[in-house]
Amino acid sequence: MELTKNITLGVYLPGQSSIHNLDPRTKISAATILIVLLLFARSYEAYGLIALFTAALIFCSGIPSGYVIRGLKPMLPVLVIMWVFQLFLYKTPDTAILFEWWVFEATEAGLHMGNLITLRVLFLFTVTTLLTLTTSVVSLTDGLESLLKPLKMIGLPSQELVMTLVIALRFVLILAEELEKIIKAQMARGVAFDQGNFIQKTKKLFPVFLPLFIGAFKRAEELIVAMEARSYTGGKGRTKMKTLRMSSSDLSAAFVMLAYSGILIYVIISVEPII
Amino acid sequence: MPIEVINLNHSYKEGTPFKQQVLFDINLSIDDGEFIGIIGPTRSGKTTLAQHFNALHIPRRGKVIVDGLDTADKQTDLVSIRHRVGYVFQNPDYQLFAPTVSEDIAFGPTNQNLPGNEIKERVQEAMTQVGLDKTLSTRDIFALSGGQKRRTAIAGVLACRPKVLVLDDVTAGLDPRGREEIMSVIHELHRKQRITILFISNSMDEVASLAERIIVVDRGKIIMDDATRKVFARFEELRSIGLELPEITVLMDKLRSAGFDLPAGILNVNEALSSIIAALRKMEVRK
Repeated sequence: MELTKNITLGVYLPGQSSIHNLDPRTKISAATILIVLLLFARSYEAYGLIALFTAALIFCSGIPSGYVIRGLKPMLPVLVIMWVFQLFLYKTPDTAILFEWWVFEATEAGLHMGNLITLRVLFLFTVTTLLTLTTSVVSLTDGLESLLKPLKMIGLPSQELVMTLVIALRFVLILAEELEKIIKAQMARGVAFDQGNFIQKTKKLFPVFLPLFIGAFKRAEELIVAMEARSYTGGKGRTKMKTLRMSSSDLSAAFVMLAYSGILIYVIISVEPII
Repeated sequence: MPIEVINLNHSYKEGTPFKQQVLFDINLSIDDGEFIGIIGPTRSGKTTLAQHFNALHIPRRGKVIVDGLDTADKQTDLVSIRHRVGYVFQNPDYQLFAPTVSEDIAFGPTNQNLPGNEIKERVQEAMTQVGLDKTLSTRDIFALSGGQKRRTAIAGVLACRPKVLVLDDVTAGLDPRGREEIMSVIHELHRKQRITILFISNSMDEVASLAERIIVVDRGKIIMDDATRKVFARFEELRSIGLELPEITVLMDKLRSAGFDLPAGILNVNEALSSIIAALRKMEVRK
């Protein structure tokens, strides 16, 4: 019984790779660019390039590729459902019909759309995971906060927003750990979660989710008190013990990103979109 | 209902960069009716070890045999093992979910698909066993005190009628009176029902007063497994892994090193009293 084993989102894996040592602002900007470019990629050629670059990033980060792929496992059912939906429901007027099933038709356009969307989500997840795997929570906060600073002028409470986001990210793992303990405690009283029909199975979730929610509220309450006890008043007047500083490797990273984005944009423009 | 552990190894997060081995070549056997204290510093692996006894962890390397059944065997009915080996968690909040006390205690027997009147009977029996008043049976779970929550949690496990009861640090965070009450409940269970008790704790005082045998776990290995008195006689080793001896034992050691003729490894106040009297008598005679 280990739930936390397969969770990679929000986990930080300490290391000394060239990617670990980049300034968080560089990493966050790069991840944002990668994600935005993903949204424009509509051909298999473009995704081939993206796959190559992502693989190179994983290699540079020194994180075992098996571990990154393991993080995709829990997403698999969602991806399959998405793919099937696209296959049967997406249509263009002049597309070829692949096969029919009951009242649904699987079209060629649907197949391509399904593939593209699945790839998109896959890489979206991988890029985000890679960011959190190589960046500690503290530097992630500092980086985001520094990047969002200009938005303060239009009245956006950047520090508070970032704090909320980071806490949410941390809670993924904490709640998973707690969930594991609760499941064990109920299993110890003889619950067999995998037995029974759909309704019976759903009923068995009550003894798990009730303590989980109550625990989450309690934790939130405690966190508030802990923050208040240390006089947290939001972003106003906060200073940093460690200020962020760009180095020469950030410059080279920027060049790499620039070159990659250039090539990818060229591929996106020149290759006819598949759909 | 004996439990047999053979060459057990266990790692968390197997196959990830966070892999960490927490148990190394554990061998032990537990007989019917024993009262065993499992002690060790925090993160020593005592909880992981104990969760193998009721098949919450299934061994990958090594074997755990409960009542002749191998927990790693696909044919073994794990639910029935979990009913035979009850496990009470440190934090009752992980377990309690039903609106009222009696409904929560009934959860275990309901999972056994027992008839309604049998469940009712078991709930009442379990409540008496842990000393919960009948008037509490309709009480809101979240209106209970810390000690009452612990007792409800223990009752919820007892209602499954286990033959072995694992108690994982169940007195943590209780006030002295709540602690004493829980300890006397456990003592009664062992004395009257002859339930095998595995008591996990890092409080030496509690373990010393009740356990007949003590297993000391440190960094995933069993470093001592012997009668309580013999284990506590090795106080220097215990201290070196960060465990504190019972206060009375420490006091008696101090008296002994000050020149009093007292035996080593005294575990409770009564023993201390009689050995002090004996020592003083001897001094009288010599005079």
